[in-house]
Amino acid sequence: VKINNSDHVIIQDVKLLDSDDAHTITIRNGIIKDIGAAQESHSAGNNSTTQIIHAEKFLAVPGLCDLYSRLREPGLTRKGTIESESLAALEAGFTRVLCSPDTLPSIDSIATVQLIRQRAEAAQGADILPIAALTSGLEGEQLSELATLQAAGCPAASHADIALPNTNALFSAMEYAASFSMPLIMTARDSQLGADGCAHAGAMATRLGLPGIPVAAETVALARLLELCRETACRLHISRVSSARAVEMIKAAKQVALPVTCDVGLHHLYFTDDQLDGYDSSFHSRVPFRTKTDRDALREGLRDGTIDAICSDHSPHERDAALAPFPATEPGLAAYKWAMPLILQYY
Amino acid sequence: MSLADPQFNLLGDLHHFIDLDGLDRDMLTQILDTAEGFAGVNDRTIKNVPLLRGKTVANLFFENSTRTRTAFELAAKRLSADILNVDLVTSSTNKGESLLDTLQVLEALQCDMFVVRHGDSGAAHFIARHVSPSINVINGGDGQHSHPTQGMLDMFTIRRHKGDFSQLCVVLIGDIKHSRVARSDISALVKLGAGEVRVVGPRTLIPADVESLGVTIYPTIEKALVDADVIMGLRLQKERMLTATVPSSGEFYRTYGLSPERLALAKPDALIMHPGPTNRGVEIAGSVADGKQSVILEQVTYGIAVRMAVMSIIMGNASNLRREKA
Repeated sequence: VKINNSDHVIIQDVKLLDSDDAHTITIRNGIIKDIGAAQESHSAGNNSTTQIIHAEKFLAVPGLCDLYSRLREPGLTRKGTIESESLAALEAGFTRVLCSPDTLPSIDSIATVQLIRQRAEAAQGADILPIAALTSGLEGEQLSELATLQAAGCPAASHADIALPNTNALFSAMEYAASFSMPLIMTARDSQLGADGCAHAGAMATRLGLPGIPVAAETVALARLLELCRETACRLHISRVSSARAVEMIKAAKQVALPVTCDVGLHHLYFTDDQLDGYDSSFHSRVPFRTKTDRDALREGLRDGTIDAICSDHSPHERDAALAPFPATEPGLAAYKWAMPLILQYY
Repeated sequence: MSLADPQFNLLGDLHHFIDLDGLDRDMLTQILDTAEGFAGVNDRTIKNVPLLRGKTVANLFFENSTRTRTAFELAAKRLSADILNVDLVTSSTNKGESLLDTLQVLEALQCDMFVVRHGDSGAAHFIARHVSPSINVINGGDGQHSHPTQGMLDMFTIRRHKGDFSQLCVVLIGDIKHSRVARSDISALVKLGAGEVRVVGPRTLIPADVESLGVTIYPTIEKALVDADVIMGLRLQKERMLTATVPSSGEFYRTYGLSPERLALAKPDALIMHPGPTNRGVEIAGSVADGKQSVILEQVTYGIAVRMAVMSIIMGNASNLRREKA
């Protein structure tokens, strides 16, 4: 089904996310004017600019916002482009996407922000909101011009999945960002613990002889972030929680009213380290898939509100990125193709 | 969902030899029986048999190796195959060529079998999945994962001395975490029904959830050695001392070294094994390595018969190993 550029579109007999009853949606000049109970069948009549869509088999869902995705442009366009990924996002039901700053160059200058915004506009896919790189070049030392980047349209800053071992720089970044009420989107991952790992440190990694990433690699880094959050009152969003213990820690932080929220990667609600059997590199994820207990805690955290959102963690790759022995493959899973049905399981 | 075992072809025949995990007890026993036949060949004056005449075996070693490479070379020669040693440690892969491109070049040279050693766990799986179907792949060691011919030659050595596995108490000492030999030995011992498999070492060298492999962790080497029938030392790599896993070789020997005093705790006829190269005075006392219970050099000798068996089985020139359902 394709919506034409008509001034008047009527979608008939469509189910809504929160109702199985048939509804009619009326759109005028690109704006939803009315969502109501099913009406008598419309006909185009004389007004040829009215498009009528019979949507008995469809579900209408509000445009979703994705908190973490990689569009790969600039610099990594062999994997994906702003055009290809923003269109894929839109097709998957995301109308607004926050894109990770780990491009080449990273999103640490106004020029890169403008380039991304221009290409996104030209592509006419989902709205793209670039996340600012917290430090220059994501090198972990020099702060980026956060206020300037915020004014240019970056809603938040992040260090992507790149470790930030310099605690002075992190502390200062959080204080500085707090001055402009700019939220930080941070992944909890220690810079040394499990740094050479490519799988959850557990039975599967042991059997496959893969270097492991212990849960402590996440929780040690999380404790550091939470304590700095307490100290600086910086608005902190933890991106892609992976372990049961991390969910517990965030729950406790919320109970004492720290300004912290978090999300879980879509795939982490489904997969565990069992998926790596046979060295299946399509499940090589930078934030590792952990045990069934961890996965169940993530699901429970989502149910009880400790986890505030699901993000796609969309990471497109070219074919060659997976053509190597497991530890040498590039981590990350593309998500958009199957994101919506998987997300709806948790609605 | 997990990927199918790449070792078996569509008929269910063992086509590559990558990992002992996918093989059952009968298959392991059949490999050991076939190796018995070849052990006889190696004792004769004329040591060659024509099973692989006209075939070309390429040794592809992405990591340094003398022992394993030499043993494979001899095994191939005694089966009358042509052997090509390709030194890849200093070769084109260091110039940025992808592993797959390197393999395709070697395929184009029309080799029949690749013996591969690589530093990444899972490399042999990857290669087996991507080579053309006419090529057989043997894993000569992949990262910290598996060294299946070493595992089989260890089993061969144990069986020759002890016969039955079911009553045996086997102790593995030292660096279990980084050892592909330990993983293959454990996998084979558990499949062959060993009575008890114990591991002992500092916690920094014991991998997470190691019990899931079917072993028991012992707190001290003294406790672990009581009633032991087979004692396996493992090589402690020097670089482990640089990464805060072990403070010094001296302390390692004092806490986990196989000294004559400690050996006395095991059964009097306990076998001393080690995959080599041994670090004397680190994992094992020189007098123990050279003592009458040591079978370390026998392991090396049997390695040839075992590799001849594996090579001829996967090339279909000995009794095939077929699993029930492909």
